[in-house]
Amino acid sequence: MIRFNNVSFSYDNCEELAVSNIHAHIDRGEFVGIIGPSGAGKSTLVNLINGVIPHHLKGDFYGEVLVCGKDTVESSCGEISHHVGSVFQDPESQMVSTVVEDEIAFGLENFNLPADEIENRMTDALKMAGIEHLRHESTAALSGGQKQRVTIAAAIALRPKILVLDEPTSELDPQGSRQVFKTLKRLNQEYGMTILIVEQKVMLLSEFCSRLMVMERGRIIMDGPVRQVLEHHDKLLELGINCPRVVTLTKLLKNASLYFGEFPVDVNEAESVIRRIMEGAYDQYSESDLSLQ
Amino acid sequence: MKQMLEYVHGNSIFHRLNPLIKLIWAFVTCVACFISSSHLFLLGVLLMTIVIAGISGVLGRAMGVFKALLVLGLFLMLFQLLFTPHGRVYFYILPGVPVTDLGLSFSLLLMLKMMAALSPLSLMLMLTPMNELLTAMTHNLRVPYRYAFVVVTALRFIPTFSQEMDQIMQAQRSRGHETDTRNPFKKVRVILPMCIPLLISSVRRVETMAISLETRGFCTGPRSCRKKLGFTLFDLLAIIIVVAVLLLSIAIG
Repeated sequence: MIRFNNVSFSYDNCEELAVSNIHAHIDRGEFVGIIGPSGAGKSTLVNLINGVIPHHLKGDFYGEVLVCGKDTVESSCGEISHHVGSVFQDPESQMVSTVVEDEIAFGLENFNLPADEIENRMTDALKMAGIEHLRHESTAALSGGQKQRVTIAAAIALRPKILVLDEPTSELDPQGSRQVFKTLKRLNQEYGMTILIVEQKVMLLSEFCSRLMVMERGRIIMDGPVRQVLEHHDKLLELGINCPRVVTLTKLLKNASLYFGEFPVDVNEAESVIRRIMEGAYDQYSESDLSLQ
Repeated sequence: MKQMLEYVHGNSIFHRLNPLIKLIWAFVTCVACFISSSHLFLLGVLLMTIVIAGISGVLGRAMGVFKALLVLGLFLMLFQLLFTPHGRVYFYILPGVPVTDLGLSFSLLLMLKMMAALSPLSLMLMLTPMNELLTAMTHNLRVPYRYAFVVVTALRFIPTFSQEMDQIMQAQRSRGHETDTRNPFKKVRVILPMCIPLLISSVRRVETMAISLETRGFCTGPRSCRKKLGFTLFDLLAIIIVVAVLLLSIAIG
């Protein structure tokens, strides 16, 4: 679906490479989380996929990026936009319309879709983003979180094969962020949409994504299934990425030689791990434990 | 400012009017007001605008506009009053600066003209969704989509920039920068430096906006339109009234 072949890029007026020697392959239907400290090249990676680089942001481009089998340099930004939907960080400046409904219809009208099709897709997208009640609202009156959901709905409405999101939950509260991830998961599972998301909230990434990429100084330093990446939590901590608490807890259990299995990624899994350990522990120390009680 | 140009959602008879008719109404009324120099005619136009605002349920907003225009109008009126020495002198404000009957009548006319000419434009924007305005411009008036989009986007960014300006002002205030002053010259001197951060952030915003447009297929080919905008009997009636107003302004002179 997406293939990076030895890609390096540096922006104009900037000597340092924003990303260097990127090799990656993302298959259809994957849900990929990208994490890393600021300035690691996460946004650059996203912009390489949706064609903003090299069509809008100029610089020195090496290697090739293939999206749906086509070189992004050869196809225009408009062509790429038929396959790739994008959501950026600042929702306010992404909005082109003054009414939510028009905002979502904007891309659909650009794609020259008939009126009834636009209506259907608009209703669907609003429902999926959980903002049906905002349909006729003025965009100026929305909160930051609501605006972010509108931009997500606008991208979903285009029904792209690939959806790339650059910190789409930065202005959402924990509940709102979770809601967004649930929506993305549904799109991923029901429509087989390939999703790439740049995000700082590692807990949500580890719970919802199937694959995690960690970036540092323009390179992908770790790439693999979530559980595998989380095992290197010392390295993650070094990069300033706080591991989910369940991972920290599991690490402690492993250090104490109480647990040897895979890393749990959410609270439910961690609970069952701990239950199993405790049951095992009771077997070993049942007498002393009972005497303590 | 942002209240004057923002669309108010509604379903009144004027909301449902074809946007092209509303555009024509606003511009023709504007022209008619500049043609006419009858106080009565201008008052009539103003009254009509108020009635339309009332029927459409945006009277509160419209009153805000009238108030702002009134302040501006009074300012204009005062200047006009002081610089018209012809006619019968009523009294002297200052030695050598008379207030005359001609001056009074002419300055009143100027104020009415401005209010009657500008308020329909603002009302038109309150009653027409941007999207429909865009459609009317591109489909009916054959304005190229790119240019029509520029006009509409400029209007869309007004609330964004006014919010941004508020934020910058508050940030400066919290650092002890005096921003409240009644002296208009001082006010300009205080506000001018704050325009630089506003300018920088707006350039950045426009950059993001451009990227967002590119990724959503802006101007990649023919464009469809969500709403079919037809003409009803009421549109016909409205255009007849608009033409009548124009003819009346020419007849009265």
